[in-house]
Amino acid sequence: MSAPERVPRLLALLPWLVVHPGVSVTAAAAHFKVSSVELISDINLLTMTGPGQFGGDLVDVQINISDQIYVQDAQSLSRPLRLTTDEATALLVGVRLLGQVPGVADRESLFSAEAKLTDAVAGETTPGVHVALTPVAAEVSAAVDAALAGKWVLHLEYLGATRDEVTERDVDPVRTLVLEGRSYLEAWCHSAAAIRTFRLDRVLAAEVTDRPAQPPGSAQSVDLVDGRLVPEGDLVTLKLSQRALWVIEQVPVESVSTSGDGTSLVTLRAADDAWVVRLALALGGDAYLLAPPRLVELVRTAASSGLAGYRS
Amino acid sequence: MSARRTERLLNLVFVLTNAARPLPKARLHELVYHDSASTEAFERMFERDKEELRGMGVPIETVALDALSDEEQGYRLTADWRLPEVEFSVAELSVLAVAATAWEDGCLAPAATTALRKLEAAGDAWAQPGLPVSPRVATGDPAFPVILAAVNSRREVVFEYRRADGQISHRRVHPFGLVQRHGRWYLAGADLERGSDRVFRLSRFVSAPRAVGPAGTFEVPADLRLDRFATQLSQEPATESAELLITPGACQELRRHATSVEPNQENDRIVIDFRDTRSFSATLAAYGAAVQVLGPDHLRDAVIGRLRAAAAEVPE
Repeated sequence: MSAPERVPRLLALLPWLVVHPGVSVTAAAAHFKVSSVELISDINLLTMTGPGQFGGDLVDVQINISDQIYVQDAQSLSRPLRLTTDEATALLVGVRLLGQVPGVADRESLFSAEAKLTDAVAGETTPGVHVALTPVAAEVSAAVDAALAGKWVLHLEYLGATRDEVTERDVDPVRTLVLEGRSYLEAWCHSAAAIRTFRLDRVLAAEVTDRPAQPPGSAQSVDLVDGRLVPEGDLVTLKLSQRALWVIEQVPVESVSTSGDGTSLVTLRAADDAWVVRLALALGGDAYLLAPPRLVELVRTAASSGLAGYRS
Repeated sequence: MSARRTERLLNLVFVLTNAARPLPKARLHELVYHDSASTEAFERMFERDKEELRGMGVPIETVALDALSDEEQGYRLTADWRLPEVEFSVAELSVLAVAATAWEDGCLAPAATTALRKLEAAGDAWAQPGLPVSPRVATGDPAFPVILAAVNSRREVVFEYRRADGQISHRRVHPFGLVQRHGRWYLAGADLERGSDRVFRLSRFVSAPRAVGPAGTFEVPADLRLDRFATQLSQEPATESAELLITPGACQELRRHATSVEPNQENDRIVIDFRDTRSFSATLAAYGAAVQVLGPDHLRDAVIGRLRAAAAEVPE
């Protein structure tokens, strides 16, 4: 165990034991995510420390025969240290993030937690980090909160991200997610009979029904790798000119190779044919789809029929 | 680190928290480092310990013991070393526990964990798990930890930066903060070469940023609002208006943003504002045959250009 982890833990453990008199060794170990043996070794170490010279004034912690922990004397450490700048930033940014996404139905506790946290770091300037999520309509947020809290079926009017269509569906909400700056609802979709993830900024309307939600317990959650939604599907190859390099920043690509003339070959997984066609049309002149041939053909057909409208 | 060193660091904290006045080095040697005989060995250890504790958030400060000379230094904790009196309810702690999970394995994750532990040690409430929300903020950008440290210590940073048009230049910036929008991180700060406030996308850093010069070099403007920086990033005003024919039932995203939609024979005719011809022509080309641009001409030509290129063979 390295000191960078152990010293802060010990400094927090002592005041925590003070406010939880009689806590069991097992519960304390679980709380600090260490084994019971490690926790007892932490306590033993604490009792060897204190401000005293040559053995006087030491921390005194007793563990009774029922494995309950009592602090007899915490010396000057009965309260925790103040938060560091990084600590304050981590929690404040996290709590402000939760303010932008449904999921915490108890909004009052969310706001009071933020207010108390701000008080606790009084004197510090505002955190140097800000995360702005794509906004979600207030009515949609409220409906998702109500459906999650009351476990009701939610009726959605949803604008699909890849297909250009609005669909209506009933879903059993499971939880909300924040990924790459966007809010999502993970839910059991009745019509697909599967877990689906809905971008909340594409939910046009959401209505709480009076039917209880019963998502199947065995439902598979979304496949998340490094916080990204990983689509399954065809491996697509694109040749990007310099003007299209933004694709690498915005789309999860599998590989990139840059050649001397400034163009790049990238491969990516396409979740949906329609999505590839739209991307290739949008990139017309800036990038070319090289493979697979089936999709290359689809793109040419779509581009030609788009041009037909201008010839009349 | 050995248990002995851990013990020594804790003793140093106790001695400093307990002292009525700043302690000179000699006294610390006597109280905490009585095992180390030589002064050199003690001084080396003490310097290392002091920096390590500061890194963990123990606010050790150095003060002159004699008001008339700064020859002898004393050490103490800043007056506000304790967490202020604050107690969180079960519901509030549960929210904070979820907030702390946002950083996953990123560079702020350890800080989130220790912060939560400190707050839980301030009162007798426990966090209850089970809130149906899973927030995640990725901080995998290699530049992120360097910039965050520079923001917190108010140090200048230097780096090579690639603009959207591909040009690379050297930048010197006073970093005010890190802003994430659409899942991408930006550094907001004062560009020292150009003399104005700017934002820089972290993914466009060509070299690893370096912090240079001393801490506390600049002041963050008192009226700075990072959330406003974020808004500016995406809301440049539309400057032109386009007229389109769209297929009924299609182009839902365009309909949402249109200023007017009216039926026109077998199509719908919509008016929609846009700013940048290049990027808006890409948006429209993506719809293929479902969109036909009536005007302005330069937008119409741009969309036709994209469709022609997409319909053609790949140029060699």
